[in-house]
Amino acid sequence: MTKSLVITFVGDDRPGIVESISKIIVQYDGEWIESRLANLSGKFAGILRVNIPEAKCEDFTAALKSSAKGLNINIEQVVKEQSSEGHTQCYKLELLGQDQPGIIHRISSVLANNGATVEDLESEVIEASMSGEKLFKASITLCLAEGYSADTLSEVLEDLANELIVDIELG
Amino acid sequence: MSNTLNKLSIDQLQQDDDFKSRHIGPDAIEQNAMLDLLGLSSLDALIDKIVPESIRRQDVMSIQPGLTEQQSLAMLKKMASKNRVLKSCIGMGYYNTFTPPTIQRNILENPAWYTAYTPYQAEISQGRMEAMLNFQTMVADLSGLELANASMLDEATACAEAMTLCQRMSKSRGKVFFVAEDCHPQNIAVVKTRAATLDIELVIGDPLKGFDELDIFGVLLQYPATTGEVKDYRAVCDQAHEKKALVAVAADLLSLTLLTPPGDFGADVAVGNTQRFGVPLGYGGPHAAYMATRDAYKRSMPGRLIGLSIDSHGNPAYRLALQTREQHIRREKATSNICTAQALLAVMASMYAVYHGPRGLTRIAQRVQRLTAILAAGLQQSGFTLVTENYFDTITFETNEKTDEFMQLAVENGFNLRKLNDNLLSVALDETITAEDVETLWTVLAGEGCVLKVSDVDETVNPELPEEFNRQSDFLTNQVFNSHHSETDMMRYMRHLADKDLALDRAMIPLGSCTMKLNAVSELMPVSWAEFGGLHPYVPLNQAEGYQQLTQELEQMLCSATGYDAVSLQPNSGAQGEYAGLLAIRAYHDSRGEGFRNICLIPASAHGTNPASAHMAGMKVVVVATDEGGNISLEDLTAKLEKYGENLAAIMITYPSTHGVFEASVVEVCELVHQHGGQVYIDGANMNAMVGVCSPGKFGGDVSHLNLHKTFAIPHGGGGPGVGPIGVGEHLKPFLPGYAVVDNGPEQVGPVAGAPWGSAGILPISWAYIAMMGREGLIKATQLAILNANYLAQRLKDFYPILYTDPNGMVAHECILDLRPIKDQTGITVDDIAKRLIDYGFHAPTMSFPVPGTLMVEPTESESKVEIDRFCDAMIAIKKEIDDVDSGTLDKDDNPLKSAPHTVVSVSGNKWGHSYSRELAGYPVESLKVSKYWPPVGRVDNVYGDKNLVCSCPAISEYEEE
Ligand SMILES: Cc1ncc(COP(=O)(O)O)c(C=O)c1O
Repeated sequence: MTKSLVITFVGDDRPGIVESISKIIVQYDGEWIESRLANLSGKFAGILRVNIPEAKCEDFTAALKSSAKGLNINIEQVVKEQSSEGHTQCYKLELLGQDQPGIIHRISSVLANNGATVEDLESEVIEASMSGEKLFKASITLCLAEGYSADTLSEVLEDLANELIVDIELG
Repeated sequence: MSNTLNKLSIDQLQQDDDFKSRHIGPDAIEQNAMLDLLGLSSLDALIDKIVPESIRRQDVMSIQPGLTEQQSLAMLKKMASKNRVLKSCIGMGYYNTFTPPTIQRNILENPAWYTAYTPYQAEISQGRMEAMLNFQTMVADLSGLELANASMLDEATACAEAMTLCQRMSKSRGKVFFVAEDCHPQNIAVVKTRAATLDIELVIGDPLKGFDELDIFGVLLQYPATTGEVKDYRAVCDQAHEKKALVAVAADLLSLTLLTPPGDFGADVAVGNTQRFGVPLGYGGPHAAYMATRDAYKRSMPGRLIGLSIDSHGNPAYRLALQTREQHIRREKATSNICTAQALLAVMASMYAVYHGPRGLTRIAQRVQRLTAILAAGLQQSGFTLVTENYFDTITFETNEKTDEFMQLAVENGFNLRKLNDNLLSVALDETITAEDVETLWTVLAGEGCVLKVSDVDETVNPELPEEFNRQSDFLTNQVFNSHHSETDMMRYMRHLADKDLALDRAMIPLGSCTMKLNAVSELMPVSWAEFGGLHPYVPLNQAEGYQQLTQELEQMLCSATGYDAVSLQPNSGAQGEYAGLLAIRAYHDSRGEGFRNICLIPASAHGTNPASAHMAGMKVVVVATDEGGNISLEDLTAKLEKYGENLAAIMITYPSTHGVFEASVVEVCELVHQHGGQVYIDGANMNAMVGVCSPGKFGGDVSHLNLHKTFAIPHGGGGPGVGPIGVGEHLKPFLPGYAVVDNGPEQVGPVAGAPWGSAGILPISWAYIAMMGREGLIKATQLAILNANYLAQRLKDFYPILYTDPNGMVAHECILDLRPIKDQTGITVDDIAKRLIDYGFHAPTMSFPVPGTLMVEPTESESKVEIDRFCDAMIAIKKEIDDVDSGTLDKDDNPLKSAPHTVVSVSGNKWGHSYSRELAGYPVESLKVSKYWPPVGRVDNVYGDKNLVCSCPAISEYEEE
């Protein structure tokens, strides 16, 4: 049996972050399923899903946390395994807000806590027209595990921060 | 120097055409020097090189030779004198008012206020943002809601915006918007127009009768109603809320000093006009309308919102809040297309409240209400039947078969009344109405025999409204509304705010796409004349003959300048023009049985208002790619036409492009779109690069809006007023916006604004600009706009790459400096450079539009070579600083760019924690020692501001905590 974990992390950007994480995953016979990583205003952040043999989960978690110098890491178990029969509902989520360090981490935690698995995440930080503010823009395809509602998710996300604007479309 | 002037004849000594040389910055010597640098022999050679042959104007622009300032003023005076200014007691949201003279002189007629730009650069806009925060506080307090914006275009569009806010925020999935039948007719008319393209079903009826089975998401009420009746809407709000619908109330701000405000009786949104707070009627505009709502709906609020944040030193500082709502960022998903609003008028209205304070306003309201009660009592004593039971300033009474006779008699005695229908008249009073006026109205209505005296009747009336209507909550308790009541204090307060800001009266404002050209005083003076200022928008046309002449002549001038066949002056901003233009296109397709056409192609580089307007017009936006040269990709266009051709409604292009280039392919683009049955919308924001040289109406455009507040000299006012007329080809003429209330307008499309001629009150500015420049002068202005931009690009290109040019390496009237390589190399951002420019005394160019990570610079024709050089020198000096950061001479993080702008307090304080000198911080170039603008705050923190949103004046207690 393998367990599916969602790992989110954020920290100052430096060479070798991805390399060090992937090394540990390999070390514990894990499988790097999917991920989106980005450099935001000097911070490097990522969300990834890995499958780890159940027996090695604890050790893996400990190893990852201790090896991650300067990284703020969060590891969550996928609340409900995404079933291949497609019992889940998929959505397109557009997020827009002022950029701030750690924003992707906060978002990804909310997603993970609300039964959302990220299928695809594209994000960028751009300078806003006219005002020049730094904007964080993300386009996420996510699937909700059974029992979770998109309305609730969007409310929780909107609550996340005043400055975040969230659009959810059924995909 | 020998005097050659004494050899000239008397005719030659007459300086006939000297306005254009006042308007245009560079003189002949400077022009030649600039042409030399570009290796060109003449202005004509410049235009030949830059403007594609295929679009050059073939005909001569039919505009007269230029007038002198005196001639123009005399002609306008003559025109103005054809307007007959009566006391208009028509109401409907428009009232006579006394503009406090100190506000007229120190705000309306003060370039420090009227030439400022929208406060995107927070650090140099603290003064006007404080005034606008006062406006927001005033509106929020009076309406009893939590926060208000600054500002909306007019009350009617604010009603339409309230409708869409209700739709976004209501948890009801209903499609019906219920509009009370006793709303002002222009509000209903504009809401109808808006609803039609958004799939919203309007039901117009009596809200007091309940909503039955209607599946409503929102309700619009008028308070007091258009008849003057004040009604208790508590139950209506409850019923709407039971259906999960939201309630919007169009409310008269002055009445709210006495009446229970909408927020207190359960409304979710309040909108209205603030004109009667000291802003002249101006035959319909410009005035600031307002919108207020609950905190929970703030992110759905349209328009600009000033918020409080902190600066880099931790001190309070204002900024534009929640910008992620706006169309620059959200494009077609924006809450609204509103961009230019009514900033200057909002500032005036807020100053009126500062001037009078809560007590003064209440007193004005009380007097108006008392006089109304007296008028009513007198009429009742004379046998009239009053229809209004509870009222504030407006009463309606039965006149039956004598209705028209009374209307006529009133006019003969100097008053305009309102005919509600064949049997009913209404009278609306305001602060200018005197006791004698009321007595005159009695004799008009009750006959010469009526000998009632106001003072006598006063003793008999009971001015009390029933308890439930009386306002219980406090308002305007902030210090600012309670301390500047002497003229001395008032004058100093306005001066104190103006001194914090950077406007055109201090330095050039090189904002690309914004065209911050001269707003000449002789163009503006007529705006203050009573003959233009005193007209209500719904007076009979025979009282507005001066305005009719003005609008017709201006329409003609604009047709000549653009090559279109007809013009509507109604839209109050460029974005509203876009919307009106797209409605015309939509209605045109519909009239040909092709109403299914709903795709609007828009290049990725378009201004954010374009997709937002397309969305409002019920169209679906499809983005067309640009090629690596910044031009519309013909390949992608062909592909998109292939795919969407059958449903194609329009393409919206900007010309010259937002990339600042005359695209040679524009004719081909227009032809391709026409071949597929689409219409071509040419965004005319850049018309100042085309006047007299090429005409959008001739090279392929079917419709364009113009920004009179760019090309045709109306000042920006710190974010409005604007005028966004549309020009259309003959085939679209029937589809121009209709008129609310006034007869004989176009009939196929509804009105987009409450007043048929929009912001008529400022149209004399554009008329005067065109009349004084004359045909030659206008062409010269175009040439110089292009020359100045190319000169500037030439001077800067070795320091900052010019992102897009035409194949000859030339730009149009503006250019984009690409700063992305600098950021990659040194970490210095657009923001750093923009803020550092403040230390050099300049307003930054347009940031990150249309390309993130760039600055777009537009000098305009009004700036001299000396001023452009000063700007270029500053940019070059800044580049040197960037190089020093790169080379390590300046620290990577602690350098004058990252810490910019520097306040006088930080530079002169005892503590100086930086690794560079104070002199470099404050006086980077020698000339600044003679004259220096100091920003009042350090760099403003954007993230903090939105996280800790404060959109009204902090209470006194909060200051005390500091
Ligand atoms: C290219 C372009 N289109 C449209 C607009 C919108 O005009 P307004 O602000 O008057 O609504 C602007 C103004 O900034 C613009 O630059």
